[in-house]
Formats: sequence, structure tokens, C-alpha cells
Amino acid sequence: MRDLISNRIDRRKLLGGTAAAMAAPALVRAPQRVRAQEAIDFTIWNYAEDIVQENIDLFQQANSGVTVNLSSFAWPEFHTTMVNRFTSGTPTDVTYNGGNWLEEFAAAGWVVPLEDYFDWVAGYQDLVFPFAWQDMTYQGKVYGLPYYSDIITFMYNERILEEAGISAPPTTWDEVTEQSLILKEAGMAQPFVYEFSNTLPNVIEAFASMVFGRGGELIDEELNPLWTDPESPAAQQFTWLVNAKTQDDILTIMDHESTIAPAMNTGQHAFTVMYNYMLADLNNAATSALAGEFKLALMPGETHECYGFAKMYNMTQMAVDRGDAIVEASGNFIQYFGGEVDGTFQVAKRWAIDQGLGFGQIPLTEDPEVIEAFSQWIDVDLWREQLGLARARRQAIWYGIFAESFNPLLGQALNGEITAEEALQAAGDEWNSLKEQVQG
Amino acid sequence: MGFGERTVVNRTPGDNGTQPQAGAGSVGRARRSPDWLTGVIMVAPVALLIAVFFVYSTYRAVYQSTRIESPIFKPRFVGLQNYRDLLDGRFFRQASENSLVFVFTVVPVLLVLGVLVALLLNEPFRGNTALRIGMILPWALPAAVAGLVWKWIFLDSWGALNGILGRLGVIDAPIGFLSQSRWAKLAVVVVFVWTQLPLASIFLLAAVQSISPELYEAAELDGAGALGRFRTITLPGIRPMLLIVALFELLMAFTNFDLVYALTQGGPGTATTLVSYFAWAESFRKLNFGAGAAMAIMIAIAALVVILVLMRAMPKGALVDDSQ
Amino acid sequence: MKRRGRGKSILIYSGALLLALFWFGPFVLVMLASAIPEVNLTTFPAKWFRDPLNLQTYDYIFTGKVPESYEQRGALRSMISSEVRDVPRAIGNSFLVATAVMLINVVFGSLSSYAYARIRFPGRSVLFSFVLFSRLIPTVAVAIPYYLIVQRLDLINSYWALILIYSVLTLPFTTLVLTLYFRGIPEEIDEAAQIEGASHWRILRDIGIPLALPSIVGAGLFAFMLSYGEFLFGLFITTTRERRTLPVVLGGLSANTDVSWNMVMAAITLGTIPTLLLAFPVWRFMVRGLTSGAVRG
Repeated sequence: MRDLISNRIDRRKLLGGTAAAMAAPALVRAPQRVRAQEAIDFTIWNYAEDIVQENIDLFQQANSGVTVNLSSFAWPEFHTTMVNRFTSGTPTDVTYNGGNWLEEFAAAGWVVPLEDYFDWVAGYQDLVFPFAWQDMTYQGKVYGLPYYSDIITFMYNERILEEAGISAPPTTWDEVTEQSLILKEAGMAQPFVYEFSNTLPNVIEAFASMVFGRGGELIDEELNPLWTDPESPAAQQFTWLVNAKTQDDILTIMDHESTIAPAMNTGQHAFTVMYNYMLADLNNAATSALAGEFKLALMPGETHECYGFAKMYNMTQMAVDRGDAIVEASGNFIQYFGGEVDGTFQVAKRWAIDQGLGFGQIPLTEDPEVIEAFSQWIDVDLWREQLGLARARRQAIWYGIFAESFNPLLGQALNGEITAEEALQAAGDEWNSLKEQVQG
Repeated sequence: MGFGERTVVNRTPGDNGTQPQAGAGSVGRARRSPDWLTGVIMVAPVALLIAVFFVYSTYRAVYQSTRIESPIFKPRFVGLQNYRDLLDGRFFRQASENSLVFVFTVVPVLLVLGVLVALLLNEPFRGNTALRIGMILPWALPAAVAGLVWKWIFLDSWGALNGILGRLGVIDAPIGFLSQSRWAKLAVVVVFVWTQLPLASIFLLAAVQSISPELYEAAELDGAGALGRFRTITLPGIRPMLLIVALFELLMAFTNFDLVYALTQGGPGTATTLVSYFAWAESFRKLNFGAGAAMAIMIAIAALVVILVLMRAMPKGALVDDSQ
Repeated sequence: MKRRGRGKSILIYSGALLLALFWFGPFVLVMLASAIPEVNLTTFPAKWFRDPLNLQTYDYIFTGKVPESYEQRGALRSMISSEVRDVPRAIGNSFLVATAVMLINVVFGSLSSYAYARIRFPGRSVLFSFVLFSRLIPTVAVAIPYYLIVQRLDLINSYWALILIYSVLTLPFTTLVLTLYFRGIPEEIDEAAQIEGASHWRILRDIGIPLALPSIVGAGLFAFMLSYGEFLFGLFITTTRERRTLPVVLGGLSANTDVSWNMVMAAITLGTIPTLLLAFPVWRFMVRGLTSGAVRG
């Protein structure tokens, strides 16, 4: 193959060929796809897809003439996949969305405010937790109804603490360190297992929850970063994580809740912070050897507040462009899935009972079936207390994209490549640069 | 491409040596529909298919690399800004460095182990055939799945390796193989070698077996030791194949993405962030499609340069005349 | 065959043992894990054999019968990653796509390689280098343009989209390998045939293909493997569970909250079956061809 390159003439031909190839943009025209008027395209991240499909079947029975095509993608790739779908115009009428991306999608004009199209939306405001409602709101307009709504909480292994002579779970982050050091002394390598990976969307949410526990915020009302002040709760929590990993060696990292739940079940760790529904998983005897030992504690910190969020159903601009019939069908669909039908929030209730997902619909907190199910894996009173302390984060269009820079910076600091201060500073620069570019 | 004509010359001395000048109209070919038409028809399907995809995608990549394109920014032309930002940026340099270290670790390791395995498989022993055939398994496992398997093996707390070591009493507490830089880097190397070694060995085995046994016999008569025979006969004999394998593995290592994605997501920190993975993260996670495209183009250019350099290092006609 | 010394024998057998351990160890672990109840799998130090092994994970994947442990232990809810039941279909999808790509590579790859190696036609060199160098652009750069192309052809979520894309990704390599091979066949053979009046089509069929078979099969296998294991395009292009390929399903599973790791291991074990079915015989054929010198022209 040497000749392939060393031959001058051919090299020229090669370049010529490439240039010719690049000069002619291949324009492939989109064929006009005619779709049945009543078919709506619904996109989700693939969690419990069987149940979603069953709910869709029920919806179709109740709304004859409407069919729903379900498409689904893995959670870690959901953001990317949806951006790709929207920018390429792949048909999508109703989609799951998370607070991290609502502003981005709304500002891009991909999803539309529900209240501009449906009168019934306003009626739900009093039935939904304020934090969930806020998480579904962008520039004063509400964009969705909750698929589920949950909080990010502090969990611990009660038996391990008892055996170490620790009578109560930590209430501040200093106590988390103290108790961890006691456990470490007794032979546990890393008492705190921390859910982190460079690509996981949950990371910045869980971080916010820990900061809220200290009574802090990530950004101020003018959307300026607060963590660049070393005294801020955000900077302190960031530093706590970094020190716990690099100095005290009480913290280890695992990449996802699906690996953390088994890790907690080895009894090699005592503390973690995850989506609250994971407590249901931890206390599920079928897959958890230590089921029953895992408890909720209020988020450590001065105020014990925590981060609450809503994953929601959004309607797209594409649905609007398809005309009134599709808008109506999409509205019915969203209301069936996220709203009240025949006096109950049946879909949300099913998620809560069957899968332990949290919910945004306040009436469900009093539903006896829900309470019975939840009491099998969580201290319901304490959970209600934590729920009352939940709040939503402040919003910015670039939040989701910022998170993709925040994770690697936190990762570098956790890995000792840069100091916590450097990482916080770099994260501040990144935030400001995004803000500047967006706001112009 | 050049080696078409040249190889024909090399391979067929004598009468046929005049062929290149004679062009398409050589004896005996003139009677039927013209040869060139047959040739064009034969290559058309593949060339057209690739052209459609390549032309459009290259055009898009080059176009994008000169722009800011993101869902949250106003799309605009920025010239070479994306390239400059990348070259100035810390992350890109770090990722390039990681890639260089990775490539220049795994390729030599693969070559050395590949030769050793080839020599081993060249010896008769019970189980030889089973090993030869079974070794397809690691290679056949999708890289993303191989990453998943090894992630479980290397995981902290409940990973298989930790579990076994703990059971054997070697360790008291689990080791974070994937959460400590040095271990994690090693893990990526091990898994990459695991997936690539079968192919490297089988090709090198073919090369070893193509060496005439008489050469060894002659050397033995001359009193050469095993090491001497390896140096004077085996190594020169498999050199072309070594270069081919090196070239192939170099490209594989350079573009490796699935594995890192499944195993470490580039972590801990940036310890295993290879440039190919970084390009993906920049495009598909930060949705910075312009920078991602600029990086991909730089990777392509770098790969081209490396290939050119390697080809220069290859003996004349290596790929056709002496190999396999 | 000369006798070898005792020391050398020990060296060889210990080398072979190490190699076997390295190559096959992970597979043994995976297969083992698929039979271990989840609660025992996630232990430190490993207590994998606390309860008897069973094959209920496979039962669940194929029949939907929930493993006993889920009922016996009084699990509260239906928390089981039902997506694992998509695995057999995903294997089928991957197998179908990969087989089609392999056939395209074998047929069209052989045709064009023969032409590049043996027939002079205008633009041959340019075209050949173009085909080869088209592969240098990393897939991350072409992922979105490729998506746009198949979308405009209205092929999103179709097998055809994957077949087309994987063909584009594999054909350059096939072309390189086979062109080199065809060039290695002594020209005298087809010269003679040509003088006797055989067309290039006939020469390819009667001489080229039979001689090149191990290489063609090898290149086809290569194409199969790449297509069977490709992840990124599979992720973007398959949007429903009916169409998803194996790497996409497994990738999704491993990031699924309700995942049971013994189920994942069972899924991985199942995923290697097509390799056993197709690749083993083909690989054997190729290994024999390669190592017996049959590849040489």
C-alpha cells in the first residue's frame, strides 16, 4: 500500500476526488409522509415500557379513533436523542421531559405551553405540589402535567449505624463525615457511595438537593452563579464532596443508581443520596439482600430542604402544526396520563403503587392505597415532612447544557486532578459564558 | 489509487510489464463489450452508496465545523473559531494526550502479545484447536457489551473481581478499580486488548505459518538458538503483517468509543477520556455540534497522517507480495 | 515433529492456560452470574452459591414467568426490568441486519474489488482511494448527517436504514481486503481464461471467487460482527422496541433503574448465541484458510 501514497500523481487524484466529492452537496428531499389524523407520536425514556404500553392501550380504549405510537430511548441519551429528533423534524407530538431541559426545549420553540391551548390546565395548579408546578413552568406558563414527581433524598443503612453504636442518622454534613470516619475506623472502606458519572443527568440535581439541605441555592434571581463564593452553601457542599473523596477517603463513586442499589446491598456502604424512589428499590426483598435496613433521613444541613422536581408530559410545536384534531387528541392524552380521570389520578397512582415513583398530585398523598404501598418501604411521616421541605430549582435555558460541563469538572475535582476551588471557578466561567452567549 | 497499476507491474514481470502503457485495450479483451464498462458496472453499487453518504456527511461536517450550532444559541458562522478554541482548550489537549498514551500502550502490547500467542498457537498441544476457534468470542462480543461485562468485573463493592478477591481473602475491602485513575486506565487497556488480541494473533499466526520450515532447519544446522532463529527468521518473516496489524489496531484504538462509553464514561475525572470519546461528548452531550465536527475533522486528519507515515515505513509491496 | 523439552511443554501449557483464562474467564463468569439469584450476586465477599443456581432468568426472558425469588420474598411491587424480555427479538433484529450487511459485503464487495484489482476503467484510482478514505472520518462526525439522510428517505426505525449505514461503514474495509487479495492471484490464470473468451463476470465466478473464498468469507464475517455490535446508530435510528438492536437494548437495560443484573447476564449470554451459530463455522473456515496458506494466491 506504500505505492498508494508515494505515487505523486495518485495523491493528486486522491485530493481531486475528495474535493469533487465535497463540492456536490447531496440534497435528499423528504417525501411527504401522510399520517392518519388521529395517530399521535409519543416519546419516552424507556422505563417500565410494558406499563406505559398498557396505559396507552387503556387510553386508546377510552378514546376510540386515537392511536398512540410509542418511541423510547435510554435515559442517559434522552436529551441528545430528543434534540436530534426536534432539529431533524422527526414526528413527535407528546413527549416526556424533565425540568433540566424544559427551558431549553421551550426557548427553542419545540414544546408549547399547555395553558395556551387548554382551559383545564389552570385547574390543576392547586392540585399539584408547588415545587412540581414550578418545575413545569417556564416564563410564567405551565408546559406539562406530571408523569411523576419526586424528591432527591438522603438514605442510610440503619442496621450498620446501630452496630457501630450510632443512634441517629446524621443531620449535618459534618456529622456525615464524623459518622463515616467512625465506620471507617470499624473497617468499612467507603461509607458514602456517591452516584456520579461524567454523563449522568441526575448529578447536578442531586448536587442541588444537597445544597438545598444547607439552605442554599445554585444561582441567584439574576441567574448568576452562587458557588463562586467560597462561603456559599453550594461551594461548601462541593468542597465537602471533594474532601470526602480525596482527603477523608470516605466516599466512593458509582455511575448509576442501578449499580448503587446493589452496592448498598453488599453492606459495604452506609450512606447515599439518590432519587427517593430508589428507597423502594433498596427495600425490595426480591433483589435486595438487605431489604428493610434502608431508611430515609432528612437531607443533612441547616434547613433540611431538598430538591423536588417533576418529569412531565409536554406537547410539541409539531403537534400544534398538525392541526386542531391532533392538539385535542394530545391534550386528552396528557390529561389522561397526568391529570384526573373519573375522579382519580389513575396513571400516576399506578406508578406510585407499582413502582414506588413519587407523584406531583397532592390528593394522592392521602390516598389509602398509596399510603399502604409506600409504608412498606418508607417512613411515611418522615417522607411527608421531607416533601414539605422540597423546592424546585431556579431555571435557566442553558441549565441542561451547563450540567454537561459541571459533571466533568466535579469529576476532575473528585479525582484530584484539580482543586475544588479551581473546579468551582471553572464552572462559574462556563456558566457565565453560556449565559452571555444566550442573552447576547 | 496508485497501487493498482504498480502492483500489476510488480506482480507480472515479462510480457505483461507493458500493460500499463497499453491501457485498457490489451489482447483478447477487445471482442466483447468494453472492459471499462464492465469495471464501472462492477464498482458502481458500492461507490454510489458510499458517495451518497460520504459526500453529504463530509459536507455537513465541514460546514458545521465553521459554525455555532446548538439548540440554545443563534446559529452563526464563526470561521475557524471552533478549531482555535479546541486547540487552546485544556480538555482537548488532555484528551489528545490520553489518546496518545492509550494508543502507544495498547498497540505495542497487542503486537508483543499477538506474536507470543501466534508462536504459542503455532506449537502443537492439546486444546490448540479449541483455543484457536474459541478465541473468536471476545472479538465477537459487541464493544458496548464487552464494556458492560467488564464493568461488572471491575465494579466497586459488588464487582466480580472484588467479590472473588474478597472471597479468597486477598482483600478485606473492595477496591474501586473504576474510580481510581490508575486502575481505570489499566482497565480500559485490559479490555481493549481483550477484544482485539484474537484478531491480531490470528493474523500473526497466519504470517508465522507462511514462513518456510526449511529456513528454520537451515538456521538450526547453522547452530542458531531459539532466540536467534526468532530474530533472524521469524521476525523478518512477519514484519509486513506486524505493520498491517499495527495499522489496523492503531485506527481501532484511535477511534474507540463504545468501550469507554460503556466502561468508564471517560472517568474518573478525565483519566480515560480519549479524544474520540471527547468528540462524542462535545457533540452529543454538550450539543456543541460545531466543535464536535471540528474535532472529528482533526481526528480524521491525524489518522490520515499516521497512516501515511506507517505506509512509508512499510517495505515495498508489503501488502501484496510478502504478507499473509 | 521433533520432540520438545519438558520445560518447553510446561511453558506452552501454562501459556495456553493463562490465555484461556483471560479470553474465556469473563464468559464463564457471565454465564455463571446469569444463574445466580440477584440477592447473592450483589455481595461482598462473593456469596454466589448461598442458594442453588437456577435458570429462571432465562425462563423470564422467554416466557415472562417471574422468578420465584420475586414472589417468595414477598416483593412489594412489580419492579422487574421487563425490557429484558426484548432481548430475544433484539438478537433477531441484530442478526437480520448483520446478515444482510454481510451478504451485501460479500456480493458487492467482491464485485467491486475484482474490478479494482483486475479491470482498467477511467477513474479507477480516484474511486478506490475515495472508497477507502471515506472511513477515516470518525462516526461521531457522520452520525447526524447519516440520520438526516435516512430520515429524508423515510427510513427511520427501519432495518433498511441500519443495513444501509452499516454497509457504508463496512464496505471500504471489505473492498481493501478483497482488492489486495484479488491482486495476489497470479494474473496468468485469468489471462488464459480471457484468451479463451471468458468474460470478467465468468472469470470472477469461476476463478476469482473460488480462490478468494476464505478472504471473502472473512471480510463478510467482519462486516457481520461490526453490524451486530454497532451501538451509536442503533441508538438513534431504532425508536421502538420492535426494532431495537441488541447493543441498544443492553445499553438501555444497564441504565434501567429496575435492572436485575442476573437478567442482564442472561441477556448477554443469549447475545453470544448468534456468534456460536454463524461465526464459529465461518471463523473455523477462515482460520483454516488463513493458517493453512490457502489465502496465498
